[in-house]
Amino acid sequence: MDYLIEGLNALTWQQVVMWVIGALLIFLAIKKKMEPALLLPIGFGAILVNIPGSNVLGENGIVQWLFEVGIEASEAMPILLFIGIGAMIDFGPLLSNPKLFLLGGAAQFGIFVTILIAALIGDSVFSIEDAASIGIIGAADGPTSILVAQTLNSKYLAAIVVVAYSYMALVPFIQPMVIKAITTKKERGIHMKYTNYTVSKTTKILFPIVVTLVAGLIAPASLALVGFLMFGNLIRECGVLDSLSEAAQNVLANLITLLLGITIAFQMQAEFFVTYQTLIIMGLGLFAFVFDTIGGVMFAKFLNLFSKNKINPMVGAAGISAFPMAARVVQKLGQEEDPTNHLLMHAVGTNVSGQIASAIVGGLIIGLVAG
Amino acid sequence: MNNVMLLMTEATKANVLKSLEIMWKGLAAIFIVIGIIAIITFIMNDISMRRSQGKNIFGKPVKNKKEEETSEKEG
Repeated sequence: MDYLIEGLNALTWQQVVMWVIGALLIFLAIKKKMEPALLLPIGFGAILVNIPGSNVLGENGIVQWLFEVGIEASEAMPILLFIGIGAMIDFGPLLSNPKLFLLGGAAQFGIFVTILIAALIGDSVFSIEDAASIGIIGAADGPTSILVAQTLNSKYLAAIVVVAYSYMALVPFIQPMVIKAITTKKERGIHMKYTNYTVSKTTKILFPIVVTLVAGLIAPASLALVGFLMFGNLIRECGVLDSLSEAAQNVLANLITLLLGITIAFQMQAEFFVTYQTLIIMGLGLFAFVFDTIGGVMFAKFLNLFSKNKINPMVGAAGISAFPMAARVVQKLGQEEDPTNHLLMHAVGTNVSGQIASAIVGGLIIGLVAG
Repeated sequence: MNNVMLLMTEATKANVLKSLEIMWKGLAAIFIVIGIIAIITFIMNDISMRRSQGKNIFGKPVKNKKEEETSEKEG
């Protein structure tokens, strides 16, 4: 009868901790609706890979195979997901006010500050590759975090991804506190004129090609991310591939999301995950989100020093790429100060600019660290 | 700052210097890329706006070929 309790005997307390973490992620996904498409598969996967003798791991294990083929060998999953994301994004609000591009760039500030702080913690805790992978949590973009952490071979991939998705879901709680702390009531009440300028179809078609060329020439390491993001957007905007655009937005994105979560769970084996470094990564991730918000808001204030048409500094906070939560937060805060203040279109423009900027920064960091 | 650096191991010092390098190079590159894209978008918008107003990229009115052809035929 011993064979019946073999599994129980092999169980470690760390694996039980992982079951609790898995259950917590499933609870947050279902009850709190926090990024359910990712947190639920990751939570279930965390339980699945932490059962002693689990045959989803090992040479013929399905989760290990998915990880090795879909992420480790080619980073195919996060990159392919970018086609779907690109097909979902309407760059119209950004194209009608290109000044918003700068705010998207400024809101990546937290990534770099976090890399510095992680490096300061010491090489015995985090190598420079780990520090860079932790910093990219500030991109507020799951696929970019996966790609950077995997390409730089960070052993904290799972912790980074779980922290990134968790904080993305917490944007509506984190950002308002930071924004209110660094802006005055008067600044939050600034109205921004929205000109209902219709961007031409030619501009919308040329835009993804131009972005790919510019990003590719200056930051070639970002091409996989930016190129696939823009490919998805070109399919959307070209007007002759509606069925492919729909497939990319729904079928492709859903299929990869479905597999991505459970595949990431491969890295959630107790021996990799239950470490004090995971707690530090949680702290640093929050730091990255806070400094991204500060970067965006402060840059908007800086632009206001030279601009006749003032920007509501809160719009800068939407530059983190958590789409569309960051834009909604800005709109809600604007309406709290003045119900007649409509900032949504400006915030959405900044938000999609953050999507492009975070993908470019992801590639830049890979190039700067690995190169 | 110097005292802090003295307390660090050589490897940590190298990591900190590398992270500072990533910071300045990364921020410079992102603003250059984003800036170029923004300028090109401004130009594309401007051209399409002028075209919708019936002007060429130098702001001069564009002759409507159809109208010309019609007037020639009428003539």
